[in-house]
Amino acid sequence: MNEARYLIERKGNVHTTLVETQQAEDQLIEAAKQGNRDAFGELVLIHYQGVINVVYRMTGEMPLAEDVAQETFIRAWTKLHTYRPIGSFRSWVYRIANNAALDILRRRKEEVDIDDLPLAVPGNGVEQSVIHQQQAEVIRKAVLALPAASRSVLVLREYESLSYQEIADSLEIPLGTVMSRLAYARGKLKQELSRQLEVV
Amino acid sequence: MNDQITGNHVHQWLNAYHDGELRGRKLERVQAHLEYCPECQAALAELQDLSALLGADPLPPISLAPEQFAAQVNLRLPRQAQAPSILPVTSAGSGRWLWAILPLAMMGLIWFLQSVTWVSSLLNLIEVLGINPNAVSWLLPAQNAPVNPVQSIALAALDLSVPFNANIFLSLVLPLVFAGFYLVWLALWWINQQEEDKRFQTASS
Ligand SMILES: [Zn+2]
Repeated sequence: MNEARYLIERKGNVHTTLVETQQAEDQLIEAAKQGNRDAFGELVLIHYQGVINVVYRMTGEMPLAEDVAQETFIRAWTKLHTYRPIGSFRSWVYRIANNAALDILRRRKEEVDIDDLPLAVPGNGVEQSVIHQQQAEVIRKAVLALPAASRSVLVLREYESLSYQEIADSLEIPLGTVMSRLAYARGKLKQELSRQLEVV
Repeated sequence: MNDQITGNHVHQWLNAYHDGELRGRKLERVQAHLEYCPECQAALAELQDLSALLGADPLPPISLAPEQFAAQVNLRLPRQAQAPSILPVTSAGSGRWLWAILPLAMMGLIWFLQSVTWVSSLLNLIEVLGINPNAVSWLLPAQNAPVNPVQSIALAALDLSVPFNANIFLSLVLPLVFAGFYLVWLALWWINQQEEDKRFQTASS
């Protein structure tokens, strides 16, 4: 455990290689599986932003995304013994996040009513023009209007840069399905956005 | 564009190319095609524009600092660790269920067997004593024809019929079996509890 913590603390260090980070994560997972909460806390710190991002892109609501992300990690803790290090831990956690987001949406009568979505808070420190904000709004709504199955694939690819294989692992679908859903989502978005924005 | 090239467009591979998922010969083929095909170049540029547009919408600020977020998650984690217990269960939740259900199921079974024994003893007694045999004959096997009351009272006084003996045997053995089961359950529960405590100690240290 100390070794794992040491490796994680060195993550910012330029000399830390990807392999070392992976080993450190494996050790943290192993420790967390034994019930070590500190180790699990480290895993939360590594992945919480990505999890919030996935849920936010799936639901379009920010304070909600934080709550669902917490729920995701609690589910991950209770299911940790089912995790097998065949795929990446990230894709495993994102699967839980995606399912948690879909549960929320389902509870809200299938898809969110995209016209009722609150206007997103502009990024702090970043001066966004009004036009830029409106554009972001249009894009967000277009993404939320996609069918959930292809939206999940698009979110994991565009916002979290998962590889096709990781997406396939995460959503438990074949590679071919990842590709077809992604192509569908992008085609649909292009169509929708070119209708609403002059750009694209 | 000339028709020869049009027939070899690489539209279906552009997504994978754009996402850096192509390797080897396929990658070379797409790259070579893109060199001279403006149509596929335009399609690729659209994909790139779309990704840029999506990427231009940043994640809104998260209300909690990373440590706060992790601390809140930690507070909400169930106390029980999730390592497999000695019972073959799929999760900690169903494990706890099983612990509660096992003795209850056992008690239910015992009660059922006990009441079956009771009822059949009662029926036997009624039959043996010959008290209104017609009233209960529908409960008894068809071949059990009503017996002579005098004969049956004598039988009851001298000797107990075979099913009656079996019932007594059952009513003696069942509590013993139950007690045995209960002790085994208690031992399993105790061992599990010890492990749980150990796990909790390592988790909270
Ligand atoms: Zn072409």
